[in-house]
Amino acid sequence: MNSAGLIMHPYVRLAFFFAGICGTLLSTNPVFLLVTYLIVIIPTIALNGQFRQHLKLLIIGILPILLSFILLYIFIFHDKSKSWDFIAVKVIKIILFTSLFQITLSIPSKILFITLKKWGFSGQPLVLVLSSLTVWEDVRYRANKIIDARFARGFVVQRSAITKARQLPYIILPLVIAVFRTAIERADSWEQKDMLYLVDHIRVEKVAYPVILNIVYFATSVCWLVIGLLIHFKYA
Amino acid sequence: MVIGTNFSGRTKYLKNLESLSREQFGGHKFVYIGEQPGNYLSGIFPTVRDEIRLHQSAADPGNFEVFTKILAEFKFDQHLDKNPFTLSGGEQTLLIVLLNLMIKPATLAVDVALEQLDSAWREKLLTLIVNGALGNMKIYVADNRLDEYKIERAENVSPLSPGEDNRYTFEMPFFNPAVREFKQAPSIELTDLSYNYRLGHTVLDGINIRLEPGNIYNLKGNNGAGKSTLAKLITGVLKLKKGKILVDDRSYDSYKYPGTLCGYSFQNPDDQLFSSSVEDEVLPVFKNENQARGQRREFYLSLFGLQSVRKVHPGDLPFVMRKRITLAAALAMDCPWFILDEPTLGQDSQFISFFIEVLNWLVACGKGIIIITHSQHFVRKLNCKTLNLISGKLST
Repeated sequence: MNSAGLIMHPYVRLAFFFAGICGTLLSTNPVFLLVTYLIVIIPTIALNGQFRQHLKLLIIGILPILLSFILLYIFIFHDKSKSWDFIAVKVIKIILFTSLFQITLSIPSKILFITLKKWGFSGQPLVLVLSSLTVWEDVRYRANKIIDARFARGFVVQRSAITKARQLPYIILPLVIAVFRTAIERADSWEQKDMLYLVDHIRVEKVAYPVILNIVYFATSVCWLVIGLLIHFKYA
Repeated sequence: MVIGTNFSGRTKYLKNLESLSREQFGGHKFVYIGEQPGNYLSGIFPTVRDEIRLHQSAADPGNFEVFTKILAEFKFDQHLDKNPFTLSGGEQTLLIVLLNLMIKPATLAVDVALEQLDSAWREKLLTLIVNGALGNMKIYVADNRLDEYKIERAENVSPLSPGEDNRYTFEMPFFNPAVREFKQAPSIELTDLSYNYRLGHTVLDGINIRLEPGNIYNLKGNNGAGKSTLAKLITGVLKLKKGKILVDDRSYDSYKYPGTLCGYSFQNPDDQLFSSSVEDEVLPVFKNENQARGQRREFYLSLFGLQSVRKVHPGDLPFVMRKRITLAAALAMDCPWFILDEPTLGQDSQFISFFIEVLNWLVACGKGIIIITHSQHFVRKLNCKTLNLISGKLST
């Protein structure tokens, strides 16, 4: 199943996000958190086709945090109160938070606009959010072009991963200049075309959200929140 | 048509039309499209389809239907789900001009952007405009390729009055062909070269060709045909997926040694400007550089009339000058071959005539040159061999 079929309704997406955040914050039971990760997050990420990105996140982001905690609390401080349970809860919570962001903010482009509109964005805030979601692609695209140009200009005698990495400091200034130049011309264009009016009056196609799937997600969000609350009040 | 040479004030004239338009029509009734069409896209939507939907809000239903039909005529349907920034320069130009025509501003000003369209698209688009297919409006076009337009023009406007201030002067330099000598360039042979950006989308398909030095080749093809892709494969910007490049009949890995065989000038000059001064851009200044390197820099600075701006940051200069800097920088690399992507973009006929002399001199000295251009005027004056790129295949 690809991401085109796994379309969360904007309200369900919001509910999933907030319920997940609250449920995770409130719970201190590592077993519950781990089970939630395994039966809710992993299947959702797999269905969304984001498994590779999630694995990268775990290896590059979470693993160093886990190792730092182990080093600090187990080997350096020898703090008996901060045991393996403590580390497990902290790390699993971080994984859950980042996974929730990954799932809920990876909105397919087809429903990006309608999702933001349903979430209450309009006018300038809507344009700001839309721009922030596309700006990284634009910057990455320009940066790659600049690196390619440096290679084409013969600034690098022999291509390798190291020589490519060494180009990164040189792309900052031309990238900033290009971005500013584009921003000025684009701002004029936006003003001429009254971009805020266009954005507020954009015609959106009706989207067919899979009903059963969205009900399941909504129910899961509610359960997550409720169980989180129960655990919190039981152990509070 | 807004006529005039480079730096005669055409851009200023076009931009000043905005205040006139506001006085006459009020509100947001003026749209300006500059040399880099990508900067006039909204930049907030990830697909062409969304970009169209955005502009549809300001168009009446009748005009939108006409727009959709025109888009189909240009076979643009295949690009609807693409990111607009991944389109070629010509495709972006066509898209942005059509979108702005659809919303029917009172005045539309197009500043040399149409030069990026191939002649077939340009003629078709201008015919649509003149026939009022997307409504009647005042359209001002500044272009250096006016002779190539076969349509009736309403009026010619000349923005510069005699004696008006001209910030950048370009004097045709005294060009002495005997000044520099070069080693004979090797031949380049492309064998069974194929390339695709993503699965199912083959851009180049089984290209076999031998290019000999001492020649100028005009790589011709429609917008999006794959000309820049082929240029990037030869230069080493892109990695070969299938096929071989032979240099003097020996296998050559252009990707491993980029910028060694070919000096490349990109279509958009801003993609290749890195330095904080023009002289550093043309040829990076090293602390203990030898005399020959310094002389090479001085030669190309004077050749392209860049001495007066040598200490200026390239970003502070207008598009026309930035383009000339990139040409000078490409040639100053002293590679055996040069690939120049739209070298005459934004340049007037005076510069083009001069540049043709430079190219002829380079090939006479044994270099090889590949030009990618939509300017028929430029090609006609150049003694070149044509390579046609159609449906991914190359033929002479």
